Amino acid sequence: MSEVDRPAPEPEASALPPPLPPPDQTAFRQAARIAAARPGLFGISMALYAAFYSLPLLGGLVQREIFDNLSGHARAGINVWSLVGLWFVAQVAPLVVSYFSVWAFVTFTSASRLMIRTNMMGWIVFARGSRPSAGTSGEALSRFRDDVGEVIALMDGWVDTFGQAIFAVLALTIMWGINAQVTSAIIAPMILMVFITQRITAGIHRYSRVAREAEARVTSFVGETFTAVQAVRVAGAEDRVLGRLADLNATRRETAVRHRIYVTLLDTFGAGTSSLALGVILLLAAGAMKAGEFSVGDFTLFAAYVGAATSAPRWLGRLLARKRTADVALMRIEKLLGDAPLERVTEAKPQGPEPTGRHDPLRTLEVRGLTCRHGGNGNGVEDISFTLEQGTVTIVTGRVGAGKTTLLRGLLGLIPAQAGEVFWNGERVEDPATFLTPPRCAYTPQTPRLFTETLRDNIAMGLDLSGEDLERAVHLAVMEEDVARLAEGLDTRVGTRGVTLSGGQVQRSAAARMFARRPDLLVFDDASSALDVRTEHAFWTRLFEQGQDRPTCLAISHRLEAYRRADQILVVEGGRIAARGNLRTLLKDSPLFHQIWTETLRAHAHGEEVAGVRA
Amino acid sequence: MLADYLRPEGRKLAALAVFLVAGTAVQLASPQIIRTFIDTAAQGGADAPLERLWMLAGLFIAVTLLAQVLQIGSTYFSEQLGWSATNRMRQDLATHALDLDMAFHTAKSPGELIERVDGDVAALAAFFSQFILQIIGGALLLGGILVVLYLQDWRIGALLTVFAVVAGVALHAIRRIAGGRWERLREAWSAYSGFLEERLAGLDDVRANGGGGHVMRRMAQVNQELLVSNVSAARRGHWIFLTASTLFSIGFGLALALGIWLFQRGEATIGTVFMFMQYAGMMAMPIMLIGQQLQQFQQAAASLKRIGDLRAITPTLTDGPGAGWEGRRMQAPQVGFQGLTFAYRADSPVIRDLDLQVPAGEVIGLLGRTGSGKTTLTRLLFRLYDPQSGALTLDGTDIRQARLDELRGRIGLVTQEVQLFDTTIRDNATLFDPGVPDARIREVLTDLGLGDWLDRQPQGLSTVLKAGGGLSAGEAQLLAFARVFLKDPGLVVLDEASSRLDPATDQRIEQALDRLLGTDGSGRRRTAIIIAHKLSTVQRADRIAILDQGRLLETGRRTDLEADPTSAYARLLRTGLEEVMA
Repeated sequence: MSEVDRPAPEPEASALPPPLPPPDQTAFRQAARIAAARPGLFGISMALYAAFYSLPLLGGLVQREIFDNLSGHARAGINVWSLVGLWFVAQVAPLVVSYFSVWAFVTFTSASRLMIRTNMMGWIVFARGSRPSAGTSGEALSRFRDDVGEVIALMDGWVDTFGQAIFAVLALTIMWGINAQVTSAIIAPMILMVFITQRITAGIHRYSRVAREAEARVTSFVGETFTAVQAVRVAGAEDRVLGRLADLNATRRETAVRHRIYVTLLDTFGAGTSSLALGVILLLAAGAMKAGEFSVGDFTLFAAYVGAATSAPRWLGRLLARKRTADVALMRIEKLLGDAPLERVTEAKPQGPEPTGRHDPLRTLEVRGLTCRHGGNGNGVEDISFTLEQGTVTIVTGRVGAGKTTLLRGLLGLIPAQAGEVFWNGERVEDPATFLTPPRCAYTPQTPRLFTETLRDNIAMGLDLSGEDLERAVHLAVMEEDVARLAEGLDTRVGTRGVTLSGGQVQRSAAARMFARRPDLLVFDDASSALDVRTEHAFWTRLFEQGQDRPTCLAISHRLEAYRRADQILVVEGGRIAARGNLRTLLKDSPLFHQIWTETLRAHAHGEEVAGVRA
Repeated sequence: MLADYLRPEGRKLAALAVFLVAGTAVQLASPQIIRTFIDTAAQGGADAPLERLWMLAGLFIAVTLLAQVLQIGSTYFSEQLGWSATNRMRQDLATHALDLDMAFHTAKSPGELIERVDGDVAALAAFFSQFILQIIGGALLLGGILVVLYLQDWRIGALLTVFAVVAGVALHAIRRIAGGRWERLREAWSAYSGFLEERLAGLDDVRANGGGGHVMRRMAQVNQELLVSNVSAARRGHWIFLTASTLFSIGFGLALALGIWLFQRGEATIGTVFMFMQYAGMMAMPIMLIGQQLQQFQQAAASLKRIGDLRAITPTLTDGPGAGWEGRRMQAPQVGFQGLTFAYRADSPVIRDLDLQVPAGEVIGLLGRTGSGKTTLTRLLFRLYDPQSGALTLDGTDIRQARLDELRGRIGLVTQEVQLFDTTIRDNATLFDPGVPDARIREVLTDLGLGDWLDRQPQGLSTVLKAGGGLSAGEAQLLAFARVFLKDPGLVVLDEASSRLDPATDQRIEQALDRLLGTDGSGRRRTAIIIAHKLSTVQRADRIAILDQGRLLETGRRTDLEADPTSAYARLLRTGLEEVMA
């Protein structure tokens, strides 16, 4: 639960590895922008924290009076019991302040976190250009949760440091006024501590990363083992898997213990400094007390202040550690967002959609020299060019890993393209990612995602659809029978906390979502792969029944029906278009396509499709 | 159960005890030194012996440093203890859970098991090490302070004892009241995480279909709930801090007031008054920590209970006595199903009185609609379940006679879902068997047509396969074949192994299959059971068996069935498998 501000966050809670610590002031600059987005709340928080930290100074002063009074050196002629009452008031006053300071500051940090998250999501869904792969969605989620938390933890650092600095300056001033010589003596252990603290903090950083990695490896290995439990058993690999777990466990223990020791070192050295300083005070005060220059009350005041006054290296160190952590967090956020400027992340005004200009109905779409090389698994595409005419169907086919999906996603600007241009009715498209969207274009990915909301909301996805519109979309997606079978029809909640739809149903819901947008161009990736022969047939028939209104189609498919319907087939092999043409010419001219075709035929050896082709 | 895991750590426990007791004693000493110092300085005035004061100051510094060392020592031993004990526990639980019936694993998601085997145990690890350090250490310190105070003056001892009890009880009460604050926040967070995760995973869907505005409107709603629950949780949490601070101020004040009163009556020195305050201050930490740990104790107790529940589940499948199959691992067995009846749930049998023989070295194709019991048969063969009646035999021996490792060592399985580990290609192919030479792995992968793919990997066989990335469905499937090739068993089971692939990759799988079964004449013959949705896959079968609702509808030699126009198989060939099996 990184979400709530704890009263005293442990230093290691925010300590993260320091890979590539940027030498600039990124985190401080962004922190200033975060504060500036809510200046009132932040200002009030700072003031209240300063009061909270410095009010205990009063308690020390009163305590000094009490002890001087007891030892017969009373300055003010106040009764000792009145002083005790005053002392108690001084103890409780900061608590009253803290009641309000927490309210103000938690509201500030919570709102700031949400502001950053909203900005991140806004950039992801609205901004131009492609998005780098987020890794697993768990990783992306951790950017949203933990890294944003760590950026805001820097704000905690600011108010804490501010309050503690005010306390330290005031405390040292008061102590200096009482006895300059003794006060100056506690500076020495403070300087010593600066060095030691830095050393230990570096160790904490290093080992916290190592320990976290070791921990994550154990957790994910346990998860993998139980996901693959059948495979492990069937392979008789139980002992080997458990042996691996034992190794990972041992590493985890070692790293966790080492990390803990470093954290304890920091704690004990912190407490140690103030005790050490007290010891130094004792040494120096011995002479001064003997000479009557230093009273018992003075000593109690020094003892009360020395802890907080000598903690400066610690809280400065902590602030710097938080800054480093925030720098790393900001870097990771930046990486998640692609080329987003960090100013966008800390902007007070949320992002809206990019304007894409007037909609000019599709006559031709031309792709020239599209090249996308991505990932390490080699299925990029190289120098892809083709043209789509209004109302035609183009099928992309090829072997697994040939680059078909990359071709589609590259065209749509969903992944970065190293080269290539797209022309809409002859005009160059500046940014396909924001331009090739409804009403121009809509898309069904290979594995479409539905969200945990009603089927209706999933299909509409923000559109204000009439009943008729919905019905049409559902019909075109050959989904009406499935909808009728669902108990609550289109109002059924789908997704993790609702009804689980079959793979084919998800695909057709996504197709309905695409049809509902009535785009000029439909792009779909293997939309019929999970469909049976009859449904697939209905799908294509209905698409063609639209007559004049029929949208232009670009689809990946390996199905015979799709090949037959296509005006143009693009055969992709090794990331390039190896052959193009219609079914008849390709069967004649392309040995590769012929091979794919026969393999398809063989796979469907005795299905009705064969009869259809032969007829 | 805790004691079981702590007992083997006796030496660490003893070391920890020594460090804790010594640490407490040293902590108790330092206020005494300061008291003596103040009294010496204050009473002596100008006559105070300076050397004695310096010696006291030096002693104080030495004691301070010693306290740090002891603190680090006890932390070291308590952490070692906690992790050693819980590692053993995690290992035991993982072993136990791996042995449990498949029925258990189908009912529990891997996420749940991570929580049980790792989450609960990790919670205990933190508890273990902190519990000993903070509860026992804190109790020692608290007790020590009170004893020292009683020895000094029974009134201050009694006063602070009462205070400690009242403060402890009050803090416990307020924690209980404020304790529920997390629940709403946790719910808001899980809604928020779920929302984000889905949208990020479906980013292509959102962007290419212009759904950005919709997503942002929904996000504003979840944001609001998160904001409100967060602020209210933090504010309720803050009450604990406020209560504790007020209580300790009162305790402090009482110690000070009593000290002054005793001083005025001449029963305490000024140094003693200051010492009272120091001891009262030292009490705050243990009271807070003990309370916190006791609260965590409830969580730990819940974890312990769940761990106990998991351990209480026993596998119903027991290992056989052994069938003496040593050295027959690679030999193709004859497989028999005799009067087999099996039900996952008592009232609805999935396999009904099934008799079937597969001669050694022959390939049988199993056909049937979804739910006809094909996959169940293979599970029974691996003894993931035991049948209610009837028997499965290999070479005439009931498989329940064999030890599980004996049995499973003889069979290789390729399923539609290929489970990959987030580890190297080598470990994925061998399932963590370090005994397989690299050259052999490379040879098998190359034979399967994965040679080019392997060459593209930056670290060759040591490349770590990222779960869910880098490997296409076809390549994953081929890797599953590689596992079977490396195991090289006499009996192979293929369950809809190629139903998700495109025709071109399918072709590569078919070749791999020919090689695996020895049907292309390149290798030795294995007995094989193939479950397929496509007729092309069973075309290499010697025999065909068609299942219908758990019963054997038809079986025979493939060529005989093809020749007989009245056979169900011939009918299938005419109408097409897709139509019939859909």
